[in-house]
Amino acid sequence: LTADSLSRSERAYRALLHLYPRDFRRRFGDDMCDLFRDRLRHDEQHPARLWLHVAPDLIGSAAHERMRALHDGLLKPRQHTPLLSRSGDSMLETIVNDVRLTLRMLRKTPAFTAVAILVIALGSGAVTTIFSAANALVLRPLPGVREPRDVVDIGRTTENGRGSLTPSYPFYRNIRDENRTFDGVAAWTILSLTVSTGAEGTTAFGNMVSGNYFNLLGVRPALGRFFSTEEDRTPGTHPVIVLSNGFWQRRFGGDSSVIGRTISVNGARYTIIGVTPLEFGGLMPIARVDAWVPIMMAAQLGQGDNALSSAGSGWLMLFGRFRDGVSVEQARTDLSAIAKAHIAEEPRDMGRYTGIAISRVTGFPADASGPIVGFVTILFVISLLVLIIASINVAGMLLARATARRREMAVRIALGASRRRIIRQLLTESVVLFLAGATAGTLLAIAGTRAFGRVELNVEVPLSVEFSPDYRVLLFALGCALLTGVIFGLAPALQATRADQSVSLRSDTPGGGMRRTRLRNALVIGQMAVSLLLLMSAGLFVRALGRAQRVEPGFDPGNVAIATIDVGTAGYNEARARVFYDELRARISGIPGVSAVSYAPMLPLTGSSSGTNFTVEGFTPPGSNASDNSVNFSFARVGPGYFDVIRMPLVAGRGFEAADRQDSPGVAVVNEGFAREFWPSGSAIGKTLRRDGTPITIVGVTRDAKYSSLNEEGRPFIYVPVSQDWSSRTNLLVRTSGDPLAFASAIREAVRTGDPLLPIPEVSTLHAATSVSLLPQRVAAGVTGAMGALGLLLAAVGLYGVVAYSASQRTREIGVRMALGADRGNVLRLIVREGMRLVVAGMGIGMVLAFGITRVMTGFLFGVSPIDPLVFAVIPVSLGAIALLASYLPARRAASASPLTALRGE
Amino acid sequence: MPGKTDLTSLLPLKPVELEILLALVDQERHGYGLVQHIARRTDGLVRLEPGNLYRVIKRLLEDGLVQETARRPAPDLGEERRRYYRLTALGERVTNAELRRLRAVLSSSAVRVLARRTNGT
Repeated sequence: LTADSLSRSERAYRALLHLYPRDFRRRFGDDMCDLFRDRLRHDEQHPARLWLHVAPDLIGSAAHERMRALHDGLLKPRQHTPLLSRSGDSMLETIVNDVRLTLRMLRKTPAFTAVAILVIALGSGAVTTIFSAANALVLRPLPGVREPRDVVDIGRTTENGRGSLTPSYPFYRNIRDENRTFDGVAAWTILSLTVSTGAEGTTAFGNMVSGNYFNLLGVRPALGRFFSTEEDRTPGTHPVIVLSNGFWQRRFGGDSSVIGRTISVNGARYTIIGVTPLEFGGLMPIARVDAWVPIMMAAQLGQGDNALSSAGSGWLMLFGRFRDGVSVEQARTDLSAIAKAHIAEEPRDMGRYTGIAISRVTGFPADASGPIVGFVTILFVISLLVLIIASINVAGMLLARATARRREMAVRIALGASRRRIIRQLLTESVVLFLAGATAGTLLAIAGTRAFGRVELNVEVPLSVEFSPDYRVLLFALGCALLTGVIFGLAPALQATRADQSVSLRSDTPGGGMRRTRLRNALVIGQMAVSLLLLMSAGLFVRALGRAQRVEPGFDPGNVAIATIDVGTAGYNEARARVFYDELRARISGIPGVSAVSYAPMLPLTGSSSGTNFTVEGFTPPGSNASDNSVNFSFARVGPGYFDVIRMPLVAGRGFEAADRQDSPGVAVVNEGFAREFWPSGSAIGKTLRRDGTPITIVGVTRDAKYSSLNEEGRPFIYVPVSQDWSSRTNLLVRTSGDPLAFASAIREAVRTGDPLLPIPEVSTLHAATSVSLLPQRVAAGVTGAMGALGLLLAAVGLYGVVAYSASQRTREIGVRMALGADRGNVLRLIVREGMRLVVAGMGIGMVLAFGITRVMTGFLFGVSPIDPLVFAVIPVSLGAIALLASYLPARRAASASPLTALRGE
Repeated sequence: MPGKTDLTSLLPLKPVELEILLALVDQERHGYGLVQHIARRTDGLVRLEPGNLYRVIKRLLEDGLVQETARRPAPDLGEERRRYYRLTALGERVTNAELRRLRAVLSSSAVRVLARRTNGT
């Protein structure tokens, strides 16, 4: 037997001792090895024979001891954990050990722990809340859709990509049938439905979709089935309906026997064939969808008798799913060719729109997605600033504590602990702190997003946004905690272990040297810079809100009650609807306190706008040809007395009257901007416009106003009477004396008197509806204001802490100075000056950053300059004042100590 | 440490425990010494492997029946340092109590009947 094989056996045995619990191994491991070696040497048997006995013994007794340790661990409190860990521990044991030690340290300093966790929770809560919102709005745009990244929006545009045309059904059919680049192309549109199961109907928000809609999106029914090929083939023959999960729960209590039942939709019987899964909310999930109906029922559901056959009426939105390996460019070329062929054979199609626009499906109306993403990004970055400020605060606290513990560190290093081991321990502490803070922060975020969800937005379409945190949010919070824990824990840990340990072991040297001071100073400077940036952003948004609220809309939205009514969905034809609306207007005008009543299919300042082509007689737009010299103008259809209801002043001529009927000569009212543009010197009254060849006479001119949003530029605008451009869906507008909502029941009663079978409309106010136009500003000012306040508080507390700490570290120096004749004022100035030096440096950096960064906010600032002088003056001065206070208070305390006490030591 | 009245709570001892305690009556022994001594005394019937031995020793230490000494050179193992174990006063009392119990077992009538029957065949 060679010595080699003996020692190999020994080594193997020693390694196998790790099977035993650590305590047992520490106590008996060496002795057991000795015994094993003794038997190996003196028993005079082959090692293999020895192993034959030893191996089962090892496994059996190790298992017994493990069980026993487990049992003891559950019943008895742990007695001790040594500060110094011996080598040979497994990774897991080390981590468990570190965490246990950390928890003990944190328990020993409950105030420190509580403050640190609170500070982190505030920062982490801020960023997690905004991330939840961003996640809901931007990151998960199409819940319930299979591989949503492959789904693209298909739109029509001109050759140069400007302007857009809503596709017609014949256009859709051509694209669907002839493309070679998509697995499928589907069409859909939004419409409102009147659904009744019993006597009373309710308004439901519907999507009208092509037969391949669900299949292409990869959605499976939660119940029943979706539309079949047959139901997508022949117009008007299959009255079937798919309910959304939410609607099914609300209206049918989740009763699975609804499949096959019929309900009344717009006055006709429809069979319920399926229910969608809960998470699916259509292609614009931000707007609630209650039901889906097949596109083949378009005529029956009020899209017009020739909606499916006319190439001249566009009313659809298209989306497709790319075939594997197809590029956007290939798809565009493919579809453009189809579009051109379509135009060639369809004279009624708008020939200029030969281009195809392919864009990612964002879950928002096409023009809104860019601003929303930008807006959310800005808010997210601002919330990140709060987290950074909070983290810097905690880093400062950790640094101070590490300094206070330098003697402990020195002892541990002297006793043989490696620097790495100690850094690991300190890092564990900061990561555990940050994890605890992030947990609390996530709870805050859940509360925060609940609050978001409860905000009443008062928009025409009910918003349904699922803000609550999902796994992505939790992962984000976890990642944030680990990252910040390591980043902001590493610097203090490195510092604490870097200093000359022999110095630290000596009793009372203050401080820890230049390096540590430098790090602390860097923390203060960084914090001030970030705080300033944060406050500047908040200040700019608040200014923007202030300016937006002062924008004159050009009319008076106060004291106007509104209600949306659609008699078309109750099966009214146009003639009957006209009579109904006329009678309703007369009836409501008779209510005491009502001064004017009108209608408008589209409300002003609610973000919606529509445009159509008019020819201005005697005017040829540059670059147009002889056959078509029309120009697209923003326009609105309004009822008689509209300008009285919203108090929009007429500067010339008259408004619309009941006498402007369907069969009377066409009339229009234009705004001053329109009149100025075409007849700068003369009057617009009596001039003629043409729309599809029909002459329209201008009878009035209104003052310029804001039409779709408050920050739009002035533009020419045309009003036409709704009686001459019919819409069965409209908004009732009622000017009242006093609170409009006080008239709600009278208005509802008037509708019920007109037709008891109509859905009873919700009554709200024009003021509430128009305040939607300020929504981004309100959200931005509110969110950044709150974050700014939070950041300011955290930064002030942080600065206070740092100044107080460094003053306390210099107690002895202060004592010496005072003993040598410095008075209290000298000392005070000395400490404050040092604090303020850092503040000024930090704010300088913050100013530079702000100059560079705030310009990305320009689009949301309502004309306030991103380097608004007021904000750039007031914010730094205020922050400086608060910083001065935060360093003055601790300085005063340090200076008020008597020199004797100061000299006696710490 | 259990008082006098608690002695019976430690009884009966397991055979291995008794063997170890008995091996320590006349002298302190290290691990290998115990293993060898017990193997010899029981004609190889009780073979103590390290894991089992130290589990029992741990129990005896916890109960205060044996004590461990600092490691010291072992003359029989080429002066290599070994940890020794010695019997405590309590250990001695417990051993005695266990032996009394075994004697009582041996003097029971059932044992006598058994002995007679075995001799008779």
